[in-house]
Amino acid sequence: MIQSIPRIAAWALAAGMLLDGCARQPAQADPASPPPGTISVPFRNRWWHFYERGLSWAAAGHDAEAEADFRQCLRLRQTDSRFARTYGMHFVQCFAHRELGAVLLRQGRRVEAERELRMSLQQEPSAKAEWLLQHPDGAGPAAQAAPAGPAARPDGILVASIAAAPAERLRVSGRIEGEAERALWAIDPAGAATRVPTGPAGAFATETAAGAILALGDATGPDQAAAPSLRLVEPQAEVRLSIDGPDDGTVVGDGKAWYRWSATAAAGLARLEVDDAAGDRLASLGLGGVQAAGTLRLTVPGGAQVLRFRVRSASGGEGSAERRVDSRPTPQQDRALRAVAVVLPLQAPRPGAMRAGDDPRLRSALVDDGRFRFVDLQADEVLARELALVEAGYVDRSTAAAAGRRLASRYVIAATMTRAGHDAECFLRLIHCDSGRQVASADAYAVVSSDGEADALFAASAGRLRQAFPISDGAVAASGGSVRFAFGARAGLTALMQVHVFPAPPADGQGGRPAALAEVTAVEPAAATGSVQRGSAPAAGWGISE
Amino acid sequence: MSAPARTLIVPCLCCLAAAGASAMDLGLESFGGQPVAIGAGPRALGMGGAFSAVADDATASTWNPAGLTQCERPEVAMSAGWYRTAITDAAGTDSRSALRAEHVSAMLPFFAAGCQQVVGIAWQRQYDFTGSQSWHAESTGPFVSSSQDTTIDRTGSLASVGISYAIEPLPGLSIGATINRWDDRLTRASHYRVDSASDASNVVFGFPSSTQTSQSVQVRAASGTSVVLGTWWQACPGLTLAVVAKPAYHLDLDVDSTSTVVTSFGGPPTVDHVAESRSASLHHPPSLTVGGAWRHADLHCVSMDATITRWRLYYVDNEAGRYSPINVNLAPDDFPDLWTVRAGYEYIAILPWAVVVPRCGAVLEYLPACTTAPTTAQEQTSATRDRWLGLTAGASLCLRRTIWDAAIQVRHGSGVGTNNYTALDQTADVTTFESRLGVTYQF
Repeated sequence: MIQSIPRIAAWALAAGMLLDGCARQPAQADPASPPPGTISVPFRNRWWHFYERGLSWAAAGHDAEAEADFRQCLRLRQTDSRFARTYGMHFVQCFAHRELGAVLLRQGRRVEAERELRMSLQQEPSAKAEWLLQHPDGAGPAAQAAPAGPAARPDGILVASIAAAPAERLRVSGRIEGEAERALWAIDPAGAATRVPTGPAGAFATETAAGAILALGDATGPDQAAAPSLRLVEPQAEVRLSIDGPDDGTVVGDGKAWYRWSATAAAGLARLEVDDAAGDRLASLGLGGVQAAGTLRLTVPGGAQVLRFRVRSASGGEGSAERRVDSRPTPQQDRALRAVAVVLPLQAPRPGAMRAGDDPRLRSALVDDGRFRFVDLQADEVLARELALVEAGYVDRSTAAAAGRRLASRYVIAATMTRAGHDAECFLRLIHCDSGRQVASADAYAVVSSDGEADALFAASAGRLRQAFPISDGAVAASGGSVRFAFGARAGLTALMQVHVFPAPPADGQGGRPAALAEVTAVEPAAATGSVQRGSAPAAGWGISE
Repeated sequence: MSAPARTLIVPCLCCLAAAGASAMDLGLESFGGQPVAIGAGPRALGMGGAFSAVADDATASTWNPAGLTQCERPEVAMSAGWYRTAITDAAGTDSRSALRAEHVSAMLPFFAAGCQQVVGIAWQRQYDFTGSQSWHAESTGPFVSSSQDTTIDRTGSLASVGISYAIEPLPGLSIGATINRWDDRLTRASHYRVDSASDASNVVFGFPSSTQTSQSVQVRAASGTSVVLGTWWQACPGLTLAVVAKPAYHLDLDVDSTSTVVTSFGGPPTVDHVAESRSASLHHPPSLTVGGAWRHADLHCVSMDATITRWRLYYVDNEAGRYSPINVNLAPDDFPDLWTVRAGYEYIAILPWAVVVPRCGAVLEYLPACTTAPTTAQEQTSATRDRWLGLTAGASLCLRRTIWDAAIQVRHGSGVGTNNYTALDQTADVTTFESRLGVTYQF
């Protein structure tokens, strides 16, 4: 008996250990979500360790820790680079300035953030830094509905608030984006232009007549024809509506017009309605909550149209905006003449911002839209491997352009996807491969809680991209190697776009072979100029864009 | 000539020949044509060998093991080399080339006890003897005149297998060591062979004689251990400094030689065969290298190394006593300590599809030598130094995890090599050409 005691004790100990092990389940580490503040290698106070740990902190929302690590990284290494050498022939991306800017944006420290982002752009241009500068509210979850004024446009006018003032006037405040030497002008309904003073970072606050237009220009006057302009509509109390989409007589093809909208109302939103000039209802959406946003496709009757957007609040308040478009049939175009593009793999700005099915969905939407001819998918897979050096989340223009050139593609479509909660935003850029310049961009936002809604979002993205880079046609006059187009920016023509020149307008879409190929060099609202690239352009002909 | 005199002369000639052959067959040259072994890999060669403060890849165990702690992921590397030596003297130009595997190395970083640590292993062919020389020597005196034609062919190498360990006890400060074993049964490449033939005609006091000597010497490293000790310091974000010490070591050599001497004094020739085995101990001198590397803007890296070698501790011990491999008639202590300076540069060219790294380097090297004697019979010579200049170039092609490296080195010594490359009364212009091709895989 006495000899058995130790054996019993041993068995008891073993049993206890077994039960203890069963009772206490080991923590199941989610490989998709490493603990915040961890890196893939032992931390040894190298600059790339601080950078990687900063990204880890930032992804988990620990902004203070992320900021500290990014700043320490910058003490050891002062420049952003896509190929930062660690040791030997090992390279990593280091965008400490950019990521610090993103963290500062989330903290609301916009001035510091802008400084970091602009420094990052100077050192190593990146699409993500450009995007963050253009979408300062989008640094974290998908962009919330813009609370006031029309959406910010690159090199445009951002209206922060519009309030009614006595004598049918409006108090407007906001800021202008883009080059520091741009000037802001207010054009009253009578056509008189008054320069609006702007302060640091382009901020302005002015009082103008209701119905006035804000336009950018230079010191001598506004340039409504080329620069963005903004029509000021008296807001209804507490209700704000912002609309992003075609305006100023822009041509929309086949009666389809895409608009991205956002609205806020302190008393709660009730409904969004869109009417044409004849009072016909084009869209009506029931809304809820104090903020809402989305992307809308309108079927617009043919001809010049004024679209009136109106959002009503639960308390009866109303906000409105107008957009002028010219609805025409999309020109018939031989598919073989369409622009060739390659779609880069969809990127996400941070882990978890996209799902596995998003990339094929977007590709399907672009293919279904039919605006472009695409390089075959197999080439895309090769391209995806070659793009292993692409920065996390965004593709920079030079990399995208080089990739497109390798696959004999004229354009590259680079897309980013940001999901947060139940909403999602998709941002597309169309990049001209030879020059690396962005020729068009489009975005779409929607509440996405199902695959069907995701498909709708990608369809909207593709539609908005087609809207920004439409097929357009019109008369062409050639003289020597120069070409003059009788259609311009309103019809969708952009610089670098190629135009197939035919001797005469094609009948029933059968235009035969084009006589020449021209490339647009300069664009005005209703006209453009270009140069002949190939063939012999007739003195008077018809052009259809690629 | 009476038999005793012949007996006296022939052994003397044999001894001289044997001693001379011993000096020559143990007059070592490295794979790069230098008597000082340098590290492995085309990348380092392309930078002129100024790699002690760089040492950030799998070849670091052969240059500065302390540099291994820079690595965060395992790597394996291997390389092969082709080299050619051309010796131009009064008799003309001799050259010979060879293609050899040069090195294989691997290293594994790990983190333990709060420190980055690395272990590595490397096989490296440190000395290669492939070469061919021939020369003609004449001397005329009142009583004795002689004429001799000599050819020597060498092939083989001395290789080592090394185990390395490095640790970073403080951030940016590392120490490391490599222990090399040279045993031929371990390395399978620590043996070489020297075949020599000479045809001598002599007139002694008016009596003609001729001697044809052929000798084959096989040398095998039976055992030997050497150590490389290194430190590496990240002085500031762009600057790294290093010190590498290679203590003196010796190799126990088994030397088997067979020689045939055919002597004629105007009558029927006599043939003597001699076969012998002996042991010898080759002592390598210690050296100390100080280096620095500056990296700028991720794209540029400039490095420089200076090495001092204590050549007085370079000698051979065998039954005949202690002598210098440079010249048997000089005491090892006669040779001064000498410097070698290396400089290198590499540029990172980032292309859309790969990273290409061109590099170049230069070497200024002083090696122990002996002065030219008046004649081969008058062995008045003293210790001196030969100056060698080298230029290197290379490039790497980095494709994801695989790095392809290539490099070439051209070394030239003008008026050098007395008694090593040519006769005692002559100098030669020696040009060595070496190329290396290697691949590194990063896990």
